[in-house]
Amino acid sequence: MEAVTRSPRRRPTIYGLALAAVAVVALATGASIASARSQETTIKVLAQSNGQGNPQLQAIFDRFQQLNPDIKIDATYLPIGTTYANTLRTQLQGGNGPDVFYVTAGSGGLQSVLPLAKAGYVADLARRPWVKTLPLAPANKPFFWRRGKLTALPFAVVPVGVMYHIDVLADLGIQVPKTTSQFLAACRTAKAKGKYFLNLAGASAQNASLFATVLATSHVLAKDPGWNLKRITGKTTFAGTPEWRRTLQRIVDMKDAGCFPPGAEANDNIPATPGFVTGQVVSWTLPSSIIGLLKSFNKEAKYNFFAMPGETAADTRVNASPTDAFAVWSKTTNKAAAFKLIDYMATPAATGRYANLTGAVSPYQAATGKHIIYELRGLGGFLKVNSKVFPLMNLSWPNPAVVETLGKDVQGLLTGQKTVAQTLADLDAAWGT
Amino acid sequence: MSERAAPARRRRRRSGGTVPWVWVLPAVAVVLAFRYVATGAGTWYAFTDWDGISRHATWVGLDNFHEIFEDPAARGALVHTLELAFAFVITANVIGLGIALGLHRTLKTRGLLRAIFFLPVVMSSLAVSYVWQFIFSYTGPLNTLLDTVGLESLKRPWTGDPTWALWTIFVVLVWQFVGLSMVMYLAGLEGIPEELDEASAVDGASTFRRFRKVTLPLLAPAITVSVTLSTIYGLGVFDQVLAVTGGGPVDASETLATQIYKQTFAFGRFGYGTALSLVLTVLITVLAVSQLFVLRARERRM
Repeated sequence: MEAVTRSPRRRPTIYGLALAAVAVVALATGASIASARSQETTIKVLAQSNGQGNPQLQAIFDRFQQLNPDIKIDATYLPIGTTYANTLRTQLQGGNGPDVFYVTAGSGGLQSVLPLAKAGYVADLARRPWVKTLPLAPANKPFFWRRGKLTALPFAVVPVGVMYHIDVLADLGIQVPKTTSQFLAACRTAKAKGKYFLNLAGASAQNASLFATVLATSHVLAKDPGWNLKRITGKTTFAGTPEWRRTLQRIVDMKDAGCFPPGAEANDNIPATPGFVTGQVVSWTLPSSIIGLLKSFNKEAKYNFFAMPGETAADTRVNASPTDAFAVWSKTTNKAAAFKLIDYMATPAATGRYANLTGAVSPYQAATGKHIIYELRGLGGFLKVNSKVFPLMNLSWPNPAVVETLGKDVQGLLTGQKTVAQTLADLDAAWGT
Repeated sequence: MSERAAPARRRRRRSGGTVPWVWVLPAVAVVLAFRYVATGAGTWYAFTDWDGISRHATWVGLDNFHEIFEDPAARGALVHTLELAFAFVITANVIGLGIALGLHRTLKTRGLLRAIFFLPVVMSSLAVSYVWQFIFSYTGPLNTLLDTVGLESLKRPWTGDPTWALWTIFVVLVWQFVGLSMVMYLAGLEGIPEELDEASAVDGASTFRRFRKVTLPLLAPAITVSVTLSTIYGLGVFDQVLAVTGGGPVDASETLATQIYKQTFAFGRFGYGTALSLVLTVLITVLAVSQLFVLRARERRM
């Protein structure tokens, strides 16, 4: 009976021992969790959004986190333009910069890497293991290298061309234009059949300037591949270059030939999109990285790209720029983890996957012209010939005002507020601001 | 007794005058530090060429201000701002007063109608502007309506038309502000005794004469508030311009506020943008304060 009935005095002792054991186990478990947590590093990434966030880039980060469970990525995606640029600048200046952040190549844009490097905000990547194997065309090196330091990882090369509906073009009985005169004839044919040949978001300085720089590549750079360097060194001007005059005149000619849909001068990118995705407008000058987004609006549409023609087929050139790039903050306290992420992003697997998801081309694909996505096959022939591929001209322009002025004045050419001569003078004036 | 009481009263008066000021000092210090000193310190950049990212800014004296008055785009923005504000203040107040008079007493459904007219005020300026941008677009409802009634010749891309772009913003501004103006005038009308209006009616005064001689003078304080607020609102217009026209085509609808934004954040010219901000601040202050003095003087005369 005594064996069954335990003494009330011993109960607290047993409970006490049990509690102590539980506490020891809990403490040990807690300590191991805390220890594991203390080994986990969180790195902040600031990157560009395309529509809702950036699922394509997030897929790369997710894969990296699977491979590196000790590193967590806290990514923020913001719309490219003033929102992104000002958030990044404020964070960097406030000493609260993201460990890794998106930048564009060169110096002509709001989020260009070279001004950030000049201000001392980016870490040198010159000693990373991938530097010797990651292909970077000689023409693109000045956009990333500054005083012997590599300022960013060139993550994706983005070809820019004229994206078009394969079926709509065939229905209209139009061949892909190979010269300016064929292009203008295609505009007249499309208009006669109730459609418009070329879309334009004239109220968007970005789209209008992109259209003009792509056109200028097949006019200005086709005649003088070194024009940009001459303009930078002051050996030439916009107004003093006949090919620039011809480029802008072609825009007026396109307007007169009825290439653009009515109201193109008033449209921003969003209002301009439905006309293109529904096929009412046949083509649009766009970066290839937009393919994924446009395909999501109309899954039935079949797209391809063609190169914006010059005066002759031999003049035609293509833009492909290493615009998407990533830099590491020079003052990051998580340098090892940030470099680990950059090293992973530099692999052929990561760059290739991102390129295929977005419609861009990885630096490795750009070097060989192989394995590029289906929609870019119209540009594939050009991408294999180095002398026919140029980075966007504005990447090496001295400030964002030049490209903004170009976009604004293209709108002025459409509304009649600007003449070709005034536009050229405005560009030279903006160069000096 | 009275000789002893006098110093005590003086002490009480003195202490009664000083203690509340001591209590209010921390709040005043916080307001000064965060609203005025911080903003004032930023004006230093107006005299530099700071690009928003360099660690150092170079002193350029009055160069930025010279550029403002020499640059056609900045001068155009100043003219557009004044044109827009002037037209907006008059139109919004006239319509607001008209609606307030209509909805003051007689209508049974006035509560509902007041809510309907006030609704645009509480909506986001940006959201409203995007809706209007769609209305004004080439394939939008306005051009469709013109098509339907046989006025195809008037069809145009309204926001991309150099003549009309500024006035599309004017329409959005008036549409959104009229409700607020109406509420201010309704509050003023509520304060006018009904007997005055009835007495003048009995004396044989016409409706227009009653409005001019009785209602309008007694509405003077409401007019002062509504006109001053709409002037400040009109001179600082930003959201609507950016969303409807983006300041285009080719600066045709650019205002000082959008120029500040573009120069500072799009072109990275923080020094020049700050100089433009100073000009806008001085313009709003001078116009609003002088208008306030004129209207207050008019109130006293009435």
